[in-house]
Amino acid sequence: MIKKLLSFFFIGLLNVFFFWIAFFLFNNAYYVLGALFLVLMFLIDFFIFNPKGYPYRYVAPALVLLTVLVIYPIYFTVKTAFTNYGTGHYMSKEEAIERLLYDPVYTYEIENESVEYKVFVAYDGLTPIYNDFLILFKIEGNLFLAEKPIPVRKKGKDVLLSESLLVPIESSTYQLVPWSEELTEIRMITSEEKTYRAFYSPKEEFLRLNGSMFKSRIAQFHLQRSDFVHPNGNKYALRIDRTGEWNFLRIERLYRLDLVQTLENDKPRTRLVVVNNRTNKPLIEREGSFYDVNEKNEEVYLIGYIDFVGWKNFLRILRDPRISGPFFKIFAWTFFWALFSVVFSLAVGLPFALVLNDPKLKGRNIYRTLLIIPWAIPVFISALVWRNGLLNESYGVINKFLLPALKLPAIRWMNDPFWARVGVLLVNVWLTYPYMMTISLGALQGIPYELYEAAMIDGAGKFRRFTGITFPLLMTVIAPLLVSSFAFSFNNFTIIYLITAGGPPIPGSTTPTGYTDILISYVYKLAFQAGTGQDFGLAAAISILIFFLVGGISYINFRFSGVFEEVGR
Amino acid sequence: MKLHVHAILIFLIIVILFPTVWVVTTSLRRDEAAFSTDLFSSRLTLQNYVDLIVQEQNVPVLVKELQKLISRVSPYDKLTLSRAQEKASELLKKLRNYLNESNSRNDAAKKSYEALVKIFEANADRAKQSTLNDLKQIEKSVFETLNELKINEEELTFILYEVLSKEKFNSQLEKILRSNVETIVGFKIEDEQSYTLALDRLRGVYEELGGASLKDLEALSTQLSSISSEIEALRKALQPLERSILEAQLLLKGDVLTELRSLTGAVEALNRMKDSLARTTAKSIFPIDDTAFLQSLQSVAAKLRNASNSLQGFEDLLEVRKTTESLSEKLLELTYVDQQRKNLKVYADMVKTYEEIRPRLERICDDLGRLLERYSYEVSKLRELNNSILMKESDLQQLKQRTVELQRKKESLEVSLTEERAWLQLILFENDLKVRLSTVEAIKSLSRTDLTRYSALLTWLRNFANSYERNDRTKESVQKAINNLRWIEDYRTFTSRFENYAKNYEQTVKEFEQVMVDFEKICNDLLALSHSGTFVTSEHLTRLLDLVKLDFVNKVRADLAVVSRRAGTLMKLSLFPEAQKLFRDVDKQLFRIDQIWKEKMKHYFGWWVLNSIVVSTIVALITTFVCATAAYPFSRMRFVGRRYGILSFLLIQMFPGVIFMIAIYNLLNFLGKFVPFLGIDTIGGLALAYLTNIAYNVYLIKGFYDLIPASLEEAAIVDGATKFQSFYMIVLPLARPILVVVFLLTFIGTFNEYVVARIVLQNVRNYTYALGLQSFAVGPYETEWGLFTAAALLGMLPMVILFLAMQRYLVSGLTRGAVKE
Repeated sequence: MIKKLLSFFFIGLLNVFFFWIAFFLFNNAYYVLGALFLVLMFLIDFFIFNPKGYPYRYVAPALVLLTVLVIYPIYFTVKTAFTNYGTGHYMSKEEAIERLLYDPVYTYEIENESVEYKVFVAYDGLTPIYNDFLILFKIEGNLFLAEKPIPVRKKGKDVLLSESLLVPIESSTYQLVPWSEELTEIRMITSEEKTYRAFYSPKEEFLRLNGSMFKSRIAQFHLQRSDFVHPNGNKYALRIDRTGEWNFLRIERLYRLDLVQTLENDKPRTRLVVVNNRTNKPLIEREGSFYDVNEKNEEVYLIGYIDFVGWKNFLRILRDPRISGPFFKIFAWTFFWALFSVVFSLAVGLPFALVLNDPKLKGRNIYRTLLIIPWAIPVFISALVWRNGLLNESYGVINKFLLPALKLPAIRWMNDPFWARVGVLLVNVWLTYPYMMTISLGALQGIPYELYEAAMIDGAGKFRRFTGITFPLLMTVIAPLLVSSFAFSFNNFTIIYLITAGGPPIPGSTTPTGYTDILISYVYKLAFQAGTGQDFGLAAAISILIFFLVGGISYINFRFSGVFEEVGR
Repeated sequence: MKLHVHAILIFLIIVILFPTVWVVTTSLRRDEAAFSTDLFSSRLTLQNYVDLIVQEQNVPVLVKELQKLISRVSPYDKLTLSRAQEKASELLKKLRNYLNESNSRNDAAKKSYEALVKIFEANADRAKQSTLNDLKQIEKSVFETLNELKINEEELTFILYEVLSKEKFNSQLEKILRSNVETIVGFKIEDEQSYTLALDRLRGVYEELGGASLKDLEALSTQLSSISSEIEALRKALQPLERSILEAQLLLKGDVLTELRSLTGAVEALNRMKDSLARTTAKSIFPIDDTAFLQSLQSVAAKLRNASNSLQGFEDLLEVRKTTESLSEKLLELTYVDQQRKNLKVYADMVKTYEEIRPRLERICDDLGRLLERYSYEVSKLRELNNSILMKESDLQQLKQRTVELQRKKESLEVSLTEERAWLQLILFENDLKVRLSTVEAIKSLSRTDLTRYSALLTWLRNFANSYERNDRTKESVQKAINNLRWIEDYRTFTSRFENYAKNYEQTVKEFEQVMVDFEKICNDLLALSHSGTFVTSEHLTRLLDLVKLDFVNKVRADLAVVSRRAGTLMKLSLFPEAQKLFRDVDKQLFRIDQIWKEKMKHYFGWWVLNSIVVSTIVALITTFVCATAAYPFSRMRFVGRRYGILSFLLIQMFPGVIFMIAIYNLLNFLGKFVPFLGIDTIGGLALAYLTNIAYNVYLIKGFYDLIPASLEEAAIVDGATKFQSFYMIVLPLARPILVVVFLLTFIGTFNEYVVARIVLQNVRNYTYALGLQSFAVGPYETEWGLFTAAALLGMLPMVILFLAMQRYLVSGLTRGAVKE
């Protein structure tokens, strides 16, 4: 009984948790992910309460992980492929508008006269407490007191805007000591519990010494995105004025939201636009960016947001010569890279397997263990060791010792396109041949000896036995593994990136492409190397193409190796 | 048969595993492996490992800690005064220990050094003898080579004249070559006169052989350059002309032509008026005075005709010419009016209208005339210039040809002169050699001055070897001498640098000690001051730090490094076997001294390995648990989606991981704003990003579950267990092998993963081991191979051992499905 209660309680908790997550996601504009969570919640409830859903209960945790970490990313990637997400377009339109409305950059100063101010800080003995402070303002002859600004607009944990109300000194609960109209004479401000001592004023010699502390401890943390609001609505903020000093100036926001009537398809519609407060002109929205118009009637770029661009990214791959050119080159190299990796490593591994297959060979276990070591070493270590110690152009062992001993000239491993490709292939073969050797060994052991005996009786020589018996039977066994190795090499980003980082750059391409780049590393560079601007949209488009390619190969592989049937068994 | 298989296998294994061997040996080396000329070194140390695992607090670190203590910067900002004073005295004690160690090592190094100097001094004679032998050998081979050279007398004369023409009588060079000159000219040279005579004779042969052409060559080249500059100037003059011609053309074809055309239009209209005269009858009231009219017509037409004639030659201006001509004709036409028609009103209108356009016509005539004058003048000038340029260029060509001929002659001459030039070089060398031999004879020991002499000898030999082009016996013996002298050079550098180093070391360390003693006296007071609230820094400590960072580095370390390197090379000298041990000792002491004073960069190696282990364990645990649970129904139950479920997930997981990263980066970014430990640059976030390896593991585990007979569970159910209980009490324990395999596989996979970590982690302290190692290999650490290989080895070993222990399971899993039974 208790168990049942407990389990109901647990299920209820789970439901509430999922629902809360979904709600939270909806609030932050992650609509699809929120919907997925809702679906998951319903599914899990179905699994638990419906007896037919019993098998699925086991799959539930895996399903949750898969949804969040595989299905959602796939959806996200597909969606991104149709947008312009990237440099200049990092935030959603709502976020961009929020920036325009609240960020202190988008304000303008109304009068160039600064207002007098003095900062008072609470002390603990001799040390100031920097986050407990008051600022006294003198505006048009009246004294106003401001407390520490409170955040009024937040996005998650990021504070977009804080505000502090200016209270006339007469109506505040604080006392000035000594009471005076001049700021320079006021030494302390007291309230019932605390005393604030004068800390910084730009006008007084002695207090000016604290300028750096004011800037680094108070201004930087609390006053950066803060408005000080006068009872009549004027706003003041800390800005650098014409002399280069920090002062409080009266500011106003540059942009506001407004409703505008437009005629679309002969029907009047109201639309929300962002309007410039000074010129009263609405901002131009084009191709995922906001533009303002300045006095010379020129367009000024303001801020960009993520926008839907349709098939543009895919078309760019095919049509834009600066992208399609390198793209197809990279594609060709990727294909040959995977192919040669497989073929060469098999060519190295198979002979070893043939030799080690002989049970009469003494110490074959030792040999096998030693030969497997390149596969056991983590890829990144081998890549870095090869790159730094052996293939290094000036100091590497090959260039410094091996080649001079053979009287050959030094090879420019990293800078010559051909040799860079040879270098990465060499390292990949070094890394992969033990795998080929192992699977060949495993497969060879499955070939019954009687076949060989029969062949020998028929008079077949060693070579004939190999080509007639060993190789065909071997191929049937390891063919699927070779294909999966091909697919793996096709996407083997780590090794390419660590050895040549894509290799000597292909001249004349606008996107960062290199001679040893494979599709994956090209995508990575597009997405994460912000040299020429990150273009997530294009990266996502290319990855979808890669997926279809590799998925197609694997699918064919599965079909032909009959794996489908086996799973169904 | 077996033996050669073994031999080949062993050879191949050595070749294949060479990189790993290299990693091990490089991590143990004391010298800078990247810059060394040796593949392996015998100077070993474990310092790299020590640096990675336990970073020692050497002198710079201690001084910085003292600074932090005095200024009450974290981690010392919360200490009480007494604790701070304790810590200060502790640090000072350590500092003193280091100083003592450094000094004692310095003393030991100095002792070994002195012993070395003694040994070398004792053997100074041996060095001298061997050098003398080498020099005598050189002498002999020079002599032999001189005899071998086939000298042509004429060419010899050429050379001799070339060299001696600038020399005075009785100069150094002249004296050496005097005998040869005497042999050639046939008389003795005893004074200026005979010398000049001899020179004349030589000159004759010189010029005959080709000296004259050399002079011609020079003269030619000056001529060439002067003509070239003339052509330059002419071309320059061309430019403004061409421009002005172009302008004129533009004017003519533009403004002028337009004006002409419009005028033509007007005149045509007048002509039509004229034609209409025949049809009108209205007579004019006043008499029409058309003399001026006719005159003007004639004159303008004439001018226009002239203009069009002078435009005859210019094809570009055909349009203009035609228009001018036609205008002229049309104007003339206007004069052909019948007398009786001349009193018609229309005629009067004609005349009046003509008056309107007359000024324009006259102006255009003037313009045309002016323009054309200028134009033809400039065109003819242009033609002139072009002609002279052409002429000069052909001159240039001729001169160039001659130059080429002469050059060829000169080259062939040079070729035939090589032997003679070598002879000259050798003769001079032989002479110098005699001088050098006597210098070496005078060397008594291996003192500083003597070493300088050896060094000068070496430089001289090197210069000769570089300039001497033949590859004969002489060169060989010179090379041999150079090689044999090299150790003396190294020894010289060794001693001079060591003395320098010792001097600077003592000076720097003495000052350091003084400042430290001073500081010790006031340390407690400073601490008390700092604890009362003021921000205190210590001048002494700043000076100490400067001493370490600037003085020690600039004055002592440079010499120290050179001494160590030379000691390394000299260690291998087989000349003095007892010296080897002493060199080794010097190297060891100096290395340790360097380590004590060297400012080292902070590594986070320990943090990296810890991060990797934590992440890998978390990921492996969660993955194993989730996959073990998820694989169960696929093996035991029937439900929708069973057949294709895993495969489709496998296919979906083929999606390139890098691309997920955009989405996962985005997700982690968003998550990090609300859940701090799951964001970007956190271990939690990284672990989350790794939890995607589900499909393959489910497939693996499911295969294993298939092998466990279902009867066991059925028995349990009969006994009253629920399905779930039978799962986790029976199946899971039995499946332990595969679960361990999955755990280990995931652990190894996550540990070795690079891409995702690269994207998610940003702060160096948070890096995983894979990322950290990569930052070791690029950037400021790129050639610190010792550290890099040590770090690589430390991370490599556990993974390799784990992997090797597990490979049996892997192989069976991979080929299991393939071997059809």
